[in-house]
Amino acid sequence: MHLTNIFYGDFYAVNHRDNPQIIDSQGNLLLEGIVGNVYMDDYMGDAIALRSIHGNAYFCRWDGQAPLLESIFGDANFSYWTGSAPRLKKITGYAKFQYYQGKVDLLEEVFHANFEHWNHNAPSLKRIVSDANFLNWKGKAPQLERIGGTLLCNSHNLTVTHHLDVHRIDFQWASGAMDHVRLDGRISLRSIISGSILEFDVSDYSLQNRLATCIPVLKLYGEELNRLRLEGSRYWVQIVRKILSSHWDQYEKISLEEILRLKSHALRRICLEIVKPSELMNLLQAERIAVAGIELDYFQYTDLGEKRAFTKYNVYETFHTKNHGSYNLSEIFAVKCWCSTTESEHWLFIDPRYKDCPLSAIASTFHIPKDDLPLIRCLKRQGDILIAEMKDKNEIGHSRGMKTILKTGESAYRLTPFDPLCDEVFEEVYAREFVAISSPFDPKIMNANDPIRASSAQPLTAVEYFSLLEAES
Amino acid sequence: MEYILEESTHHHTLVADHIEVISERSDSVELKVEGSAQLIHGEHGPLLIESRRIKKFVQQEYNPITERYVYAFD
Repeated sequence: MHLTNIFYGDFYAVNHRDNPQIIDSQGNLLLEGIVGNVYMDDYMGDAIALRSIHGNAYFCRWDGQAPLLESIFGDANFSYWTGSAPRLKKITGYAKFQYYQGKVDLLEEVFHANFEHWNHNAPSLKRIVSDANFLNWKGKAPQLERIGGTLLCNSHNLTVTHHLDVHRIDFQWASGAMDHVRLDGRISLRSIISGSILEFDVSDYSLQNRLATCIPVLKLYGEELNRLRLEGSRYWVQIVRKILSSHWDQYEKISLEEILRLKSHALRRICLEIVKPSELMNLLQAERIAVAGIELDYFQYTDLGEKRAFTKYNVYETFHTKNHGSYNLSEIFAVKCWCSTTESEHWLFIDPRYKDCPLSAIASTFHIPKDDLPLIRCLKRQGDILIAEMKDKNEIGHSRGMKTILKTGESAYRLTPFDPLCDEVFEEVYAREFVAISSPFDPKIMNANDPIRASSAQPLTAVEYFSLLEAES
Repeated sequence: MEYILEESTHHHTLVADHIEVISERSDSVELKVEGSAQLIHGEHGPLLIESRRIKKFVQQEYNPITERYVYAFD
């Protein structure tokens, strides 16, 4: 786009009424481009030639149109603007449309959106790079694919008909309308509670309804209100806690059967993030698919910091659900392992791709960027966290050897460190299962060779995990 | 010096002579440690940290409803 009439510097429309190069006799703006902040506040007259702004656009209470404006490389404050920008495609900054009265039918991307109290649709909007405030927005964005930050919304104003990727949702309240929303991050139940309290003054009946849903779910975290962590200012937390405590004992913890019958997809998935997989797998009469064991050369540490070498034999099992009864659920897969310290069993849901290989299944529960792998000296696991000890500069290029004894099927239980069968079964198992499933060239498992994905964290393969794992507690 | 690597019912706490945070991301924390370093936890046994530079990752669990990974917690 070649522009000829460009203004450099901050532009205040009201200061240029007497300049015929900039504003004509009818009050119309003749500039094609402005490199600087633009202040059209309280101005009357159209920007008939304006195509781009490299700066922030303050159109508050402007009574005029911008028919050719295509891009704003900065923030756009359209609050109370009565006109429209029918060709506007991109706002690289904050799009504040609070009480905006016009349309932006071609707008495809903004950095941060505040559409509170805006009455029109955003029919072409595809991406919001950061946060989106859709509270009290009356319009719809049928093409929206991605919200990179937090979505703040009422349930009724976001009916998603296709998949929408959202990093985090802060609900006023959730309903089935969110079924197609995919989350990068976590839904915060604490936010749901905050949303409920926000409307406390509006309707007591409404609050009761929300608490009746929230409290049974919150009790999944623990029966005692004092143990529930609430976020927000001290004042806010005090209010939330006070209201919760006055209703806390009225409701029972939601049962697993009730969770599986919840109509709200959003709430059901929140609950399933909290409940223990073992409870769900038992309820659904899970059946074992595969078992695999691996012998590992480990180190153990005493409270005094002493290091002792020992050989450990780990067994992992994969399961799938069989009896779904009347629940609207598809088949669920999990891996079972045993805690190194307490020896109690522990379950984790897994991606169905790993159902036939328990070693790959447990490895897939840790995600590490592929770029980091050559820099890791060893891995040490403590409960649900994994410590990667990184190499010194002079160690880079050296790698550890692979463990050599593993076994699958029922024989995994019988294997001992001195079992003479170990070496015999290794060749076959390694070739058939371990290497094949863990191969970095298998696109079904991971895309390790993809340079774009190499820098992002990917599930570890069994070879990567067990060849680096040196201690567990 | 103590640094809480992960808040939990029992915290995963790193104890070392000196701890410096190199980077913090949503999925990992990178730390530089000096002197004898140990990772302690009320339930799980202690781990000795033998490198000067470490990265912490949290176990992830596949959510069968969303078909996405979420952080697993103790």
